[in-house]
Amino acid sequence: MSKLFPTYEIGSIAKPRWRVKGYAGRKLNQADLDDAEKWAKILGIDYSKVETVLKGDSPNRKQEIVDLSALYVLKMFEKAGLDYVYDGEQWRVEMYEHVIRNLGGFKFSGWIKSFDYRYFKKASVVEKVSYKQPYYLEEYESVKKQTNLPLKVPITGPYTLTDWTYNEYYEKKHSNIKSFPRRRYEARKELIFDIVDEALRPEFKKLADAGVKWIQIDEPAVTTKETPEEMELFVDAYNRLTEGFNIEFSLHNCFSNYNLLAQYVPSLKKCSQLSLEFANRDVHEEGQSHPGYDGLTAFLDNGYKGAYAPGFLDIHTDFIESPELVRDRVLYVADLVGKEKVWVTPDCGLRTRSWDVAYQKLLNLTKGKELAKELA
Amino acid sequence: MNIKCSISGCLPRPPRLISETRKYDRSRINEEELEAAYRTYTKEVIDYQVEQGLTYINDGYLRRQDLLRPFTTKLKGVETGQLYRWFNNNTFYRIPLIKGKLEGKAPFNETYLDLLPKAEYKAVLPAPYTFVKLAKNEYYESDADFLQDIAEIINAEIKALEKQGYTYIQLSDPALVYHKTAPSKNEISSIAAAIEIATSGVKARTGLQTYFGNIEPVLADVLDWKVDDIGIDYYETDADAVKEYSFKGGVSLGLVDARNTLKEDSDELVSICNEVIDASNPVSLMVATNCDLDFLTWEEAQYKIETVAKVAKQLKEEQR
Repeated sequence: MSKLFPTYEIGSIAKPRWRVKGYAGRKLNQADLDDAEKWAKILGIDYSKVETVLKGDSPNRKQEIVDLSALYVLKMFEKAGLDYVYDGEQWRVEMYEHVIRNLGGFKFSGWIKSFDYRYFKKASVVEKVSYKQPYYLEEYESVKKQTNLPLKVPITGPYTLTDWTYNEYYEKKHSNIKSFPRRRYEARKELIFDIVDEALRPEFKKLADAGVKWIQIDEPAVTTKETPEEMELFVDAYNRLTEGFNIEFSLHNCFSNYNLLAQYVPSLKKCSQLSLEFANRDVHEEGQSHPGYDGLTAFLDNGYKGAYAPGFLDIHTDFIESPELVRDRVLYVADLVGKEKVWVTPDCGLRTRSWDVAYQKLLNLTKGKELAKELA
Repeated sequence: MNIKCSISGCLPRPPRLISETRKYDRSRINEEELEAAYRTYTKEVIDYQVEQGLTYINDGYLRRQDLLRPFTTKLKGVETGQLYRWFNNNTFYRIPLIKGKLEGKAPFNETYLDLLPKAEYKAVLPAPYTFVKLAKNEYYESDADFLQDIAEIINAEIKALEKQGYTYIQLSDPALVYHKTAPSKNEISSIAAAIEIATSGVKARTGLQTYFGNIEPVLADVLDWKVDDIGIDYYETDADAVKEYSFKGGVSLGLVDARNTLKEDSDELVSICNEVIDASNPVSLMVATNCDLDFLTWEEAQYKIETVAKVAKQLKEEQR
């Protein structure tokens, strides 16, 4: 495999209906089975084995279904021609809940409004954060057995886990601080470092022992607060989290304030690449002009030395980027940052797209990268 | 000392209403059924505020999708744009795209007036500056022109709401204090003028509620503005800093944190109120949440309302 323009998907892929319903113990209808069969054919999976699981009543059926949907995604990525793969987070409920539900110290309540008629779940930390059981390890062990391609393990970063949590325990602990803003900040600092020390590092240790080579740290919340104090907290937590592991680390962040982020990423001690979201900011026309990517200069100007996966597929639209559009974007970015530093990815996980759209986008991503290689 | 209490904005949808909105979103119930659910749960959140003894009651604004949405969808000259982050929260609003001169027929903020009891009720609207900072202006030549037009629309809206029986008008102004949107020194006079236009000829009590940021950099100016109460977010503003100022009018203290589930210690909040009374000598003091309560579940919001009422009650007893 040539090292120029390596490809991977960022994280999550939509869970098929047979995965969701099957996992919830609901009966699958013919349409669900037809969908599983259709994709088995496309991806070269033996459907008779799938059918046995889906129609069966084995005591391990839930886990078998999760394994199957992970296999489908792995095969989708392989078939699309990606160089690094994972399971599209088929093992996880959602990036926040998956981690928090497996830790001690947190309590979930009901639904909170995100916007309009969309809601999300948020937990309160009510006791000191503690490690209960592995939550990324089993997934990794299982995925490793299902593919020969190299793996990239996406995990949710400490800043995001902190920002999306109500902080009860640590604020109470700091109630001797009279100023509420100071009290909140000190409590937040202690929470984030406890998440690093008590929750994430123990899991990283297990992942390292199991042979994980590359962890992508997802931090969608990182520029939410937009203050220097908070950005420094993110940097400190990131450095503390990654210190001492013989693992390659990268950072993923999207739909954020990149001018601000760019000022802080050079301070990340172990961050070999940034995966970002620029396709969403770019024009849809092929050609030499792709101003959407000019925001990358902020990272260069601030002296970030690692590689860039700036995002070549917009994950919020069904518009299928042509291989030529991907090619032109890749070449444009190669001119900006240097071709050896360009990695080819979507903007973020393709979870909000149907499998038909996601697969077609990924196929064009790898075709586009091949076209770019010929010209680079 | 006149002690009052209220919620600084909207309330969260109770869980069963959330289920109904989801059904509606998936076309499983129709508009009429959704409206019936809104009426049922609006009544519930109103009754709870009355039960707790809040001075000013609002209808919870359960139906309103975001603070700006009535303006975004009902005014001429505005189109509804994409989702943008609501300040530093993990929640989002739809950006108003200003395409033409703003015009509207007041009142365009729909409220469940018939469900409100015979009490003092409070309306919650965006302050002119916050609207301007959160919109995308593609029409007005300057922010000052935009500010003036929106202030006039807000003024007409306030007067219409006043006619309907509202006795308290809160203008929510997070952009005035949020660190990324706070005004420069030379913008202050046009913002003050916009507030004056917005509240001109209004008999209802008015409050400028600031949140998500530290009010101190603008407090000296705001004290002279044409509003009755100045609202402060105590989770962003240092309590000791506030004590440096004297208030000519009233103050609304955002002491109950609407962005955290932690139950506050009411004694601590009462003592902060007492310090403000001693140091700043306001005409009246409103015990309040720091901002809208829809960052929490309805269950959690209820104990926040309870805390607001409890602190006010305790304070009244101590002030006797």
